Amino acid sequence: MFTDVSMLILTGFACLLYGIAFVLSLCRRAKASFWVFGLGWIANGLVVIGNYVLCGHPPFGNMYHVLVFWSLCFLPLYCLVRAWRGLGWTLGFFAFASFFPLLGTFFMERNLSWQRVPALQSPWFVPHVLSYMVSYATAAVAAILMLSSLWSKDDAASRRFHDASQSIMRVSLPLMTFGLWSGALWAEEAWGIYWSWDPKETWALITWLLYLASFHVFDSRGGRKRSAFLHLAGFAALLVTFLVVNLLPKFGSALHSYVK
Amino acid sequence: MLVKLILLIVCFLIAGAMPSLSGGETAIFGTPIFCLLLGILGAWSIWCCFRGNRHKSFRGWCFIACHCGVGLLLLGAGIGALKSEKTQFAAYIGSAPANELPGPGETSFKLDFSLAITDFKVDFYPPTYDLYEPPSTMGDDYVHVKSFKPDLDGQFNIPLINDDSELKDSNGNWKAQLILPGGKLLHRATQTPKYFEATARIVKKDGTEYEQAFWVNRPLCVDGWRFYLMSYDTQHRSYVALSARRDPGRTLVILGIWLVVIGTSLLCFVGHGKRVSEES
Repeated sequence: MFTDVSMLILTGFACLLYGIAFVLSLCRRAKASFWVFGLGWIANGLVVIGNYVLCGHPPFGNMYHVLVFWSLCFLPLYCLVRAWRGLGWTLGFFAFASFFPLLGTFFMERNLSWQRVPALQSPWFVPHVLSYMVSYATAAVAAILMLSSLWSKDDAASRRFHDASQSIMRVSLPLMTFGLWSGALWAEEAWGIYWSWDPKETWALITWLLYLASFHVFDSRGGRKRSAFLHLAGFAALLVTFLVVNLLPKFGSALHSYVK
Repeated sequence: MLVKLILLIVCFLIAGAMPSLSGGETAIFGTPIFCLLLGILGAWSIWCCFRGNRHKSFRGWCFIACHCGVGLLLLGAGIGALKSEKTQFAAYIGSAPANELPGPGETSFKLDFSLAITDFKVDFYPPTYDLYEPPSTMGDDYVHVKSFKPDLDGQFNIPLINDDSELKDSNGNWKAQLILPGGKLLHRATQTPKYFEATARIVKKDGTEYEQAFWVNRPLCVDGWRFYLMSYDTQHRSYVALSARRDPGRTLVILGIWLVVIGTSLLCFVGHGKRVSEES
């Protein structure tokens, strides 16, 4: 059932459905958009399951695995923020955010098999990677909303986007915090050092600190605009952490070279 | 002011994370000014906890937990950086117990117990085989054609051989090379270890002895020392590479980390329900 071709077809199908969901949300067809998003999520889920079956381990071994899983995070997160924060109107942003990582998988080597080295055989592996994936997924949507806030000329709409972004970041930041510091605890168990200033670790810390700074500035007088810029700087650092460090050899990470 | 401090630290981090020709960019993280900035951040985080009446509300306690956590974490890391004892060494398998660890340079660390590695086991994943074609011009290198990895059933499905049993020798080990018809060559790439484990014999000063296995992600802990299995002799399996560490700041760092994680989570998730109803 899970062959290279079937996985490719499923991935393409999921990608297409995410794109259609985004277009439907732009046309204000929220219900149809949600159902199409759901169908795309099911197809995406089958790809993740397929990756698990084909490699025999939790599928977080390389960039292809990670991007496929990352796309899967957005619908459950949308349901969470809709129920908890009343942000049902952000569906289009979540659909848009799920489309691109899955599209990206078509441009990389789909290394379906993966041998899990001893260092990754730890109870920390799944929680560490999972919390980061979910937090980065939420942060991506929050960044799109923050960009919309800066782009919007209407003050009320701008404020609405900004508040929604901050609200969604309150889901992302605790997970990012757990991901960052669980990595330190895991490193201590594996190698005896919490922190080795590996490029991936350093950029993850930069990302975390910038988001923290954004939160600290938000509540201060005149802090909205500064908070927005710090937020976007944090997202830029997130992209460096997630993509640049993995894909550019010069930035290469010795400890996190498993994810290529 | 705190935000400016955070941004200054971020600038140092970016400078240290940028690749450079010398490769010495991470030296910036050991400079006194960077350590001072971290120290100020830790002290400020703890000082924040005593401002106002934070202890009068649950969110206040979450704030205190989060910020105290940062302070404790940095304090523990500072203690560890200054006072910890650490070394890396090769421990030969089957050698007599030793109560001294080689340190950096001519130094050594005296232990209150003796340690010896008595056994070592390693298990590998099935290898990858690379197919090479002979060069068209004499003197040139063989040309890599394709790599073959086993599927989930462990089958290679290499078209040029009848059965995967041809890849194993009489002892059942994977062959390093196999010459194929037409001068082609199948070469075994480096095998990825699936699991490796060492067994240590510990002899205490009072004469009690015991053996304990340890592996990656499961260090050996004896009297405050932690021994980490880093690697092994891949050629002859005569020794294992260990890292030993005794860190007085470890407890503070772990406590600080958990306070940061729990405090941040509670701060973000608790007490924002009212905003939801206002926004919707």
